[in-house]
Amino acid sequence: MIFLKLLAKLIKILRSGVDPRHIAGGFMLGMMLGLLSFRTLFAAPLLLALILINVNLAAAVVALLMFRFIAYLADPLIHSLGYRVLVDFSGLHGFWTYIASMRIVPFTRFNNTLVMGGLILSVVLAVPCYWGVKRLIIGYRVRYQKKVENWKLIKALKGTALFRVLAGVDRLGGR
Amino acid sequence: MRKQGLVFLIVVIAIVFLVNSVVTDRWLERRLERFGSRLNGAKVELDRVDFSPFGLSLSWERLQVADPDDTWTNLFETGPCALDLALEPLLKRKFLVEDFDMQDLRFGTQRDTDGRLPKGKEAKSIAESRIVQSVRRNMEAEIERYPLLNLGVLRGQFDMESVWDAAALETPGRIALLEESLAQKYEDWEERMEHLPGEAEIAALQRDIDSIQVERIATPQEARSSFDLLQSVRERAEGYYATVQQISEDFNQQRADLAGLQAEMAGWVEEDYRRLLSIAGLPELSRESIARMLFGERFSRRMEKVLSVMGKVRTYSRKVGKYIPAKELPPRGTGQDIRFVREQDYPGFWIKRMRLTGEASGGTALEGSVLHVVSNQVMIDKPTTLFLEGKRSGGAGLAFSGLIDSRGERPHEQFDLEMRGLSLKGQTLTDFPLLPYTLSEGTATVLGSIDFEGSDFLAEVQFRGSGIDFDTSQRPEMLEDEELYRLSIALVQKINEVQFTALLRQSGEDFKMDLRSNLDDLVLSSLEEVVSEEFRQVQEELESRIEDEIGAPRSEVEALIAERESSLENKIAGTERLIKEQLDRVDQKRREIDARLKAEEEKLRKQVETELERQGEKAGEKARDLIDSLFK
Repeated sequence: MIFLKLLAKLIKILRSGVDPRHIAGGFMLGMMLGLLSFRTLFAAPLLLALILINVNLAAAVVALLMFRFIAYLADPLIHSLGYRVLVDFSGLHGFWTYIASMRIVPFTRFNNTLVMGGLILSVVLAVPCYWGVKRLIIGYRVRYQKKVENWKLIKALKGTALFRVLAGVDRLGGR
Repeated sequence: MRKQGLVFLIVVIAIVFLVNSVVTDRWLERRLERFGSRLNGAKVELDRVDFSPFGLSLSWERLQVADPDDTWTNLFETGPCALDLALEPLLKRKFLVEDFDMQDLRFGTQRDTDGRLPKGKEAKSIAESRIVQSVRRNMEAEIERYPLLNLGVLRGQFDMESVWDAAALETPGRIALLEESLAQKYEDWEERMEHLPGEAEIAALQRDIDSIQVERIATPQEARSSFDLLQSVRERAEGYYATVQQISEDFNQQRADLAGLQAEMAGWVEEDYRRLLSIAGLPELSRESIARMLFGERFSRRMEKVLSVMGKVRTYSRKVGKYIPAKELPPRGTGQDIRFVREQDYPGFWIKRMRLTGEASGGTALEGSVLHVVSNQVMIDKPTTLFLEGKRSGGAGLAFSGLIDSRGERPHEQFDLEMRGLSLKGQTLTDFPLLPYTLSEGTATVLGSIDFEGSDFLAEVQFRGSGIDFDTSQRPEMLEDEELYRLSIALVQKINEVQFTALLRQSGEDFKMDLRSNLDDLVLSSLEEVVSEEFRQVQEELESRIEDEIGAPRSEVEALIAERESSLENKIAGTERLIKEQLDRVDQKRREIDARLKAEEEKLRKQVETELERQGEKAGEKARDLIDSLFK
């Protein structure tokens, strides 16, 4: 069911006339949220951006689920990255200590290895992700959209009532 | 900008505020309960938690902390409590409480429900401080050495068979395992012996040495080639000799280890014997053992609890004090928190002053305070201190003070307890079987202190009971035997005061436990009058049974060791002797060649001299002829 839902959303996003920049923006924010989790204050501005800026929410949801899963699998690596930045780079200790004594900042939980690792990873991936997804959508629409829509599997899937219902979910997500 | 988004956001915020007023208290209650339970190892329950995010105050109606060792009893519970959180630190995610009133504090109250944590949610066992573990182990071992007295022995009702069955000797199993391991070890040695130079190698050396026939050496070239051959034989023989020496050294090392094992075997037998005595309830009769029999069990049970608390205090105080933790592999999705602490900042958690009022058992009204419950003592440069005082009508009272100081390299915890006018009515004095009566009269004073600094542990207890009177109106079942009963009654009639002192000290590896009381000599002399002969008989029978059971397998192992060791030793010594012989023969041959060379050299020199002489005479004659012809 979840897999079908995701597939439906994906197909819908890819073939719709939505601006690729909106899809890429949504995907990027979703990726960042997925890697960061909601247990940090860093998630708040990202959520606000998702709600207030014109980005594609369906793309954000797909990216969020996808990167949440990736973050789960890569948990030990993200933890190691965070530990390295927080502990092993002793030159940064003064900076971390300074911001830890500021107001509000501690609620970001930046001193948690997973949050720090996720933050670094998401910031590093943000621009390549935005740019890559945008290029991918444009490339897909120009070269492959018609071919894919003629695939028997896609036609069969689109013929099912369930798929039509699931694909309709995207309407709730704005553009 | 998405307009619907803005509307959605406003709606969400409104919902959050609405839900907050309804759900937050319960949510917070659960969080606090879960956190406390994890820390405590049994349920911590809060009733009617009220949190005001705007007023920054927190209160509850009741707090129950279950005893992890007896989950139907609370370690303590409180009545209504309230505290105010300071705003400025809270903005930095730090919890600072100036004053915290904890009212209606009561200890050891009964619970309506089981306080055990549900399966799968049990507290993670925390690594207890090593020194606490060591003290506990030593104390247990010390107590186990002195079993409680078995009255059956005294009554002649000692059941040897049941004791024997219950003991299940461990030595035969251990010996069997040892035998297997020895057999394997000797197999390995046999394999290693194959690396010793064999007969073929030694015969080859011999052949090479024999091939040199000194009497046939005629030229310097032949002598040189014989020397080269001898040198090569020597090098080979020395290589073999080094191998044998190495094997011999290793073998001697193994023999030393085996000697240790044989001594260990004697230790196993001793352990089994001690266990049998313990199951049989046959203590050693000495002043020291009597003191342990009288009060050892009770003292160790209480110390166990104290040590468990001390262990937790020490572990947590070290844990929270740590600045940069070692890398861990936390469960997925949790990460590891690294604390960055600025010295002039607030600690993460700090209750400056906690006022306590409540009631101890027997209606003693308690009042006291705890100062500086804090997550980092170094930041505030103050230790945690506590003081509790209890008073009761009739002059009875208690005072308890404590200090927990984790600021330095050597953490320091110190606790002092003083209880006066403690009624002993209805209590038993000891678990000793000859004093099973409850007391009908008596008051006690208890002074206790614990000092735990770094890895040095010192606990002292002084108990003084006076005006003691035993209730002997009912004859206990265990004292059916007339003689024992008389002995027991005679004992209680002599006791109207008890003075008991206990000392437990550990410093590094040195451990000392000293228990004494004024009853030791009294009980010892009474026991010696009636039981020494029975004790001796049972002990002798146990020793003889152990010997019957263990003697044969032990001799078998000893024979195996002797036989295999001597065979291996002979092999090594034989090979060593043969190689040495060849080395000696090499030296002998060398000497022979040297002698032959010397003789040849001598012969040659003589020939040369004779020739020179002859040549000299000839030259003289020639010279004379020449001179004559010149002067003619």
